Amino acid sequence: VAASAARIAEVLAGLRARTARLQELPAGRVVPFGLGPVDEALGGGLPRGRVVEAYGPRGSGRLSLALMLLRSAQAQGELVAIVDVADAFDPRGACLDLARLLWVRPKNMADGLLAIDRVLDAGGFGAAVLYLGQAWMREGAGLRLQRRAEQAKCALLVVGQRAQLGSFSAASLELKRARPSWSGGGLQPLLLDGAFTCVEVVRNKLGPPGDSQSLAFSR
Amino acid sequence: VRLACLDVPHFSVQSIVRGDPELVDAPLVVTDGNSLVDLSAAAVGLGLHPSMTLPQARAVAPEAKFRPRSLELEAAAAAALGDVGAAFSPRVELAGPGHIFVDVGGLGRLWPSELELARAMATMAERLGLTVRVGVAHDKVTSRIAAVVADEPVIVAYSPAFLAPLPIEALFAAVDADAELVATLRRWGVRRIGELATLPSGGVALRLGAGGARLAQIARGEAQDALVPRPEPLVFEEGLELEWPVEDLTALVFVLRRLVENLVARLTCRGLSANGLLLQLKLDRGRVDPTARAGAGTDVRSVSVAAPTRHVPTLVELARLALERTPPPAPVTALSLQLTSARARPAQLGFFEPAGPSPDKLATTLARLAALVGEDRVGSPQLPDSHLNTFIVEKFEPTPAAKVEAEARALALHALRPPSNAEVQLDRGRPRYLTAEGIAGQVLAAAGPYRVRDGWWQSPIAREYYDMELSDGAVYRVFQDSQGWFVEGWYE
Repeated sequence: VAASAARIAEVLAGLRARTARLQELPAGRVVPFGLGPVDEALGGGLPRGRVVEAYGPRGSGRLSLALMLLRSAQAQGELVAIVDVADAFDPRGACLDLARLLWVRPKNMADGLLAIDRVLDAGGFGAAVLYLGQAWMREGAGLRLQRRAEQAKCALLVVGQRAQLGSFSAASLELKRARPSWSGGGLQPLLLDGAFTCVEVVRNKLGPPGDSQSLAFSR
Repeated sequence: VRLACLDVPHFSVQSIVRGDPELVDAPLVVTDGNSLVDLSAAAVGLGLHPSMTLPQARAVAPEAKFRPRSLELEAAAAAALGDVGAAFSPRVELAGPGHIFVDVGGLGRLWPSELELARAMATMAERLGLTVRVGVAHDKVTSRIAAVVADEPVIVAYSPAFLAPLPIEALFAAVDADAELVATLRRWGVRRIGELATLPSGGVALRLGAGGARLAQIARGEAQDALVPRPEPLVFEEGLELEWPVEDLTALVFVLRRLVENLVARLTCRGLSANGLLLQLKLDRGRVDPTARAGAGTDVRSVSVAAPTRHVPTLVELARLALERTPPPAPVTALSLQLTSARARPAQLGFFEPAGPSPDKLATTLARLAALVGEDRVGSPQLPDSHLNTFIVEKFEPTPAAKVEAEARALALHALRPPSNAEVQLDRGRPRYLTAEGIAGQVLAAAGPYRVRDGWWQSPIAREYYDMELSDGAVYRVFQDSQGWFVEGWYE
């Protein structure tokens, strides 16, 4: 009887924790990146229904940052999507629940914008990433993305090489050039351990800009 | 037992109008050879009569639209009518051209009244391009008479009382009575159905035989013909013969859209979605290359749909893409479209998980995305058991959420597909300078080689991988195999 009571208490505690989490999810909830100061600057993370852009030079960790957002959304039980205009996403080592990831590989930018439009139109995706690689969006696309994300209540991250959305993004995150981290050397074989980078909130409608966070990615 | 009869007046005319809605108010005459089969109300208004011959009709009303009877369109309209019945009840009998019987017994819990139900049936039929009259009664013949006597739905509570005041012609029309029998009853002075009901049954049977006895039985409201439900239809097909050969794809897609709309409306009636299209184009024989293979007069193409959907623009887009990829070799004179049906995937929502897109909407989105980017470029990635950087894309069918490590900070790879050809300068066996398309720089640090061997049982692959930090600041993953050096991507 004592064991059963303990088990019941355990189950009830679990249920309370889960229902408490449900209550914490208001309509305008956020999807955190998992980066303290950056999340704080954005009001807790990337708000659903808003567009944020992240940009930086080649090798600055843009895609790794985008995958952090998708992982965070998946940890909340959300479905996520990536519209991969660059056709560059590598699912191996992404540390995502791949069965709950919709991956779209359009052949050009025009198709990419239509594809993200359709993904947002479906609704029900907690977070989505539009990965542009080196490509440029046409003018006016930012307004449409902003409206569609708002209708879909989806946290949308646009990842490119340079800032492209202007005032249509709720915030702009700039990634600095990454510094690889090696181990070994000398008599030991050299190994790539990961990379260090720095994310800075350069524009922010959700709070004060200027916050930055150094970030380490590991292989 | 409560049976509803759905009757389509001027069935041949309505079948043609359903295929070509622009004719809806036109004075339409359906012909079969030299005789007139059916006339629209506007054609009757021009002074035409079904007993006229075609030359007479052309002389009286040259402005009327004359169309040959199309058995294909009539079959599609009859199937659509069956789908209307199936939307309300699983027991439907396709009784004849233009009328069906539906068992509506026991639907009282779903509909506040039989009148509401009858109106809903008429509305549903309207959506499928058919104007129907509805009658509800205890038996088939009475429900048919009730459907035929008025344009508004008629609900019959007690058959003898309903039938008694009606003219005897209504009964003749409903049962397709023998002409001699009709003449005899008229000679007797029977003008109303009630008058026939009052005649002694034995005497009627003695003088008029079995046919007369049956008429009297119906008149007394005692006919109890059993409903014969039709077998489940498996084919959703609509076709259209074009007035002249069409070569322009835009025009063809315009016609195709109408067929898709009709078929999707039928699928909706049955709660189904389309998961494939079979398009058959009949080509202009005069323009088909005589040296072409046998059967070249027909162009058949099958289009798969990424996920079951009822989204008309998506289905039309898929058909359009299929036509654009390989345009028909000759002008098209007729086309037929068949949709394969499937039920939309049901989804079990998690109590503690956020709701994803509805299965229907997700299926439509996947189909639209597949139409846009190609079926192999949308889905969820799955990783085969391999050491190489390979993946397969499977249909996106979300499973219950698995545990994901939100704090993981994995370094992602920006992959180049296919790997980019590269040149690597070596210095004492170590990479010194890397050049590839859009990439050039001095190698500042290089880790490797890591040897990878895979596929030895089929097509062996042996590669030596390096991670190279270049002077441009990025770290590249480079490999060398028997073909040379390649950049697989960079860490991003």
